[in-house]
Amino acid sequence: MDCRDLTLAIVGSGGDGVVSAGEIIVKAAAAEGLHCFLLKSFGPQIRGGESSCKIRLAVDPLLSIGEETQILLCYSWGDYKRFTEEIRLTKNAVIISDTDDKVADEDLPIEILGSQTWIKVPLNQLASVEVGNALTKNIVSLGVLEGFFRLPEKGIAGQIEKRFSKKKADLIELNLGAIAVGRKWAEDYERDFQPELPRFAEFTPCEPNLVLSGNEAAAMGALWSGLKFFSGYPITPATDIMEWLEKRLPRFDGTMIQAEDEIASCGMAIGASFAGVKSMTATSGPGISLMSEMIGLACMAEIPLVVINVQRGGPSTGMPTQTSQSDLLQACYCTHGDAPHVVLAATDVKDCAFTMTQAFYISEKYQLPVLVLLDQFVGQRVESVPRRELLETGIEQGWIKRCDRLTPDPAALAKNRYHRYQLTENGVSPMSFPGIENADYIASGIEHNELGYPVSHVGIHRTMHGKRYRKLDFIKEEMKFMRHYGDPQARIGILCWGSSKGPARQAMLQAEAAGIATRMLIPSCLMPLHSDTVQEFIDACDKVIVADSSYSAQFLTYLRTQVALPAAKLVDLHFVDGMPLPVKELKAKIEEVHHELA
Amino acid sequence: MSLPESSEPRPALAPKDYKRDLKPVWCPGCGDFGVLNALYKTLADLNLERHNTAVISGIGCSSRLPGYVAAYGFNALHGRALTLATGVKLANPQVTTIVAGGDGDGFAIGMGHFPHAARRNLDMTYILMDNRIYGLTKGQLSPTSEPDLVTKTSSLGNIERPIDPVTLALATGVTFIARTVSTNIKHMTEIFSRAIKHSGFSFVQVLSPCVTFRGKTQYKDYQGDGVIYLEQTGHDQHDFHAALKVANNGDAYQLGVIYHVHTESFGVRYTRLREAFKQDKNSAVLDVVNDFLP
Repeated sequence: MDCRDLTLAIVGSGGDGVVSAGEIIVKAAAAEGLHCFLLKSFGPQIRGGESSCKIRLAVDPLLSIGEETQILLCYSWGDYKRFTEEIRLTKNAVIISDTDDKVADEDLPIEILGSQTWIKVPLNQLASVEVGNALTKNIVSLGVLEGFFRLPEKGIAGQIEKRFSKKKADLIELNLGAIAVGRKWAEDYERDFQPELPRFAEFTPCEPNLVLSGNEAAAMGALWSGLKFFSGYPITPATDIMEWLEKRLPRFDGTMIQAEDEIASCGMAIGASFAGVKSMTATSGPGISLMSEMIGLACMAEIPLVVINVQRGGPSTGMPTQTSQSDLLQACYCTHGDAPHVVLAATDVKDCAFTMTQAFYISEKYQLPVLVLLDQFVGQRVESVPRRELLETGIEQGWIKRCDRLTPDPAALAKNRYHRYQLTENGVSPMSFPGIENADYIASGIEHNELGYPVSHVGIHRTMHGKRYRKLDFIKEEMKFMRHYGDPQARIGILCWGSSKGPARQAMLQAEAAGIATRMLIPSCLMPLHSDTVQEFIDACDKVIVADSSYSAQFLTYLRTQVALPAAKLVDLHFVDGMPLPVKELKAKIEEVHHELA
Repeated sequence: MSLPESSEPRPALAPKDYKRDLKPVWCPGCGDFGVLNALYKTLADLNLERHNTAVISGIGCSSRLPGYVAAYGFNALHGRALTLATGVKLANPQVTTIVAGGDGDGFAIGMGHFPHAARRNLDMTYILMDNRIYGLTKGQLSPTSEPDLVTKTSSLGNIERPIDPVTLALATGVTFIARTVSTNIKHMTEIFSRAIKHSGFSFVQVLSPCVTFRGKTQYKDYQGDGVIYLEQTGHDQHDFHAALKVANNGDAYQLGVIYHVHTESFGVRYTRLREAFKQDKNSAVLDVVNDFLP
């Protein structure tokens, strides 16, 4: 059976090389112009421990990681136990396990159906005896997968060469040999037993796609936008951003500094922005909790600042390696006082880069903090993205050129006294920075007048609140930033946000295939929310499914503060965080709603 | 500090030119007035450009200081002045960066940042205005309050042991450490001037009396036999062990430069690192996409 779209999972423990095998497959496919997804999942152990990756390869562009897995490569059933919820198999799945991993049938963590094909391969034996190096087990298994499922052969060889080129030369030969051993075993098995297997369709290789994670895309989007200063503190699952920038910022006259904690990293970014450069920090939920006071300072002192939150399961330490959409309310209301700021959310890997250009545009133009919500699902998954499309996101649309700060007019400075917090129509006043003559001022977290001098007058407090909040009115109209999908006439509407976009679109396509029309609205600018657009959408639908990945339905809670959601229309579909929005459940809900309406 | 080179000669500024038209909130007789006046004099003595100077503070009585200096200023969050100053200096290295604040701000809530500022050795000056009491919140214990001190939060006397900021500075590797007193403007000005000129992180503890809550004793303590000027004792400021001895005051407050050593600043090291990265790869910012080719 030929497939243009193949899902695959690899499970094992840290030492099995699960992730490198996954990365080789994905990069091999992307090198030949295929589209792919890679989602890694780990246990909490520092080294070793169970790890898995889910892979999806396709000839056509992809929306999500896919729901059920067609092929499972399992090095150890013991490790698979941890992933029974995350990796579910199709009823025709092909399961490949190591002959050496002997587990009694009643101890298997899953029930293997009669309709599924289970092939036991002596992976360990092949590696240690045939190849002569037990460490090549993951590479032997790549050969087996290549042989059985027709994975891109040239691409895989190319990746092996690239991966080992910096090491000893004989390692390339050894690993190419390991591929051949695996492939031959698969070919022999096929000849002898002729199993019914899905095979990746023949395709014409084309221009390679880029392979990157959402965190990397976000970091690159920031760099494109003119980022010159990054301060951070290591935290899962956001650290990749700091690691990527550590090597790139210095090349472009920027600075990356690892701070002593998240309070310091946010403080440094604010200091750098005050000193005149585009600055940001990136963290996860616990870091935002620590930064909240600093974010309030940036609101009050009107300092441009971008803060990325790669969400993970909370509260407290929560589930550091698992995805979540449960920091939405924190993002909107994290700091004390009336603190106008902006919350954006990215929907997929490519969008991470685009969203960052928007974040810098808004924060620099309006001089306030912008929080960008990613999550582990979009931040750490790896996707193939056509190079041209990625460049288009920020650059060809011209956003990057626009994101510069309004500085005082030198002619005006020579004539009049500089008022840093001058009252203006849109609330934005020209901002100077050290180095500009006759424009020194005092920035402060204490309430201040137009000069920046501290005051405790209620009238001035009210006026300055008004100035700071006016910016949001302008941002709201300028940055509607709404994404519409599906049939504009559909009676069933879906409202969701962030990384739920991919799974939700997948569910919509499946529903469409079953003859059910749906439409979807995703606000990318969550605060300030263009509530009129959301309200129109709700009013035009007969039923509205509000979906997110948070235990307490945070998105619904937030929407209720912004729009009217009649109980008769509302379908609440929230999932506990820890997993991306499940396609199957959303599709089932769409069908249920459809029957109700009919 | 590396003094910025100006393209054309500019008229020297007088201390009053660094004064902002904002009236200090401090109580009459507060030691911080002395610190402020010494700072004006220092800025004038060094002929620092107002637009290339930034004074950063946290929260507290003394943290109001940036508002009274006609330069760039940031009156930020309680305890976090050093973090903002780090960002300012890294982003805009030509800016002379001065941090000012009190004992509660720097050594209670903000203490966590101090060792890190020290070990980075960024080129900036931290002036601690130590009155050994919380003044803005009206008279509670500070981490530098003496044992048995009666305050609003220690009505039977302080049962905690105080921190000595100078000893701590020595332990964390600060490269310029001095102690001075706010009743001696001349001494303060000299110390501030040397601290700012030091290339690296410099720390100055100023004994600055709180007239309202500690006025009865502090002014008296900082006079006559209460203080010793290290300049007169032959103290070797490059000797770490000698510095440790005088750090801990004893019967009289030891004033002057306590320790001074030269090590490369973070800025210098980072500039070198930046050059190394540039040699490695030389491309336009858009070309970084190619890093993701499989």
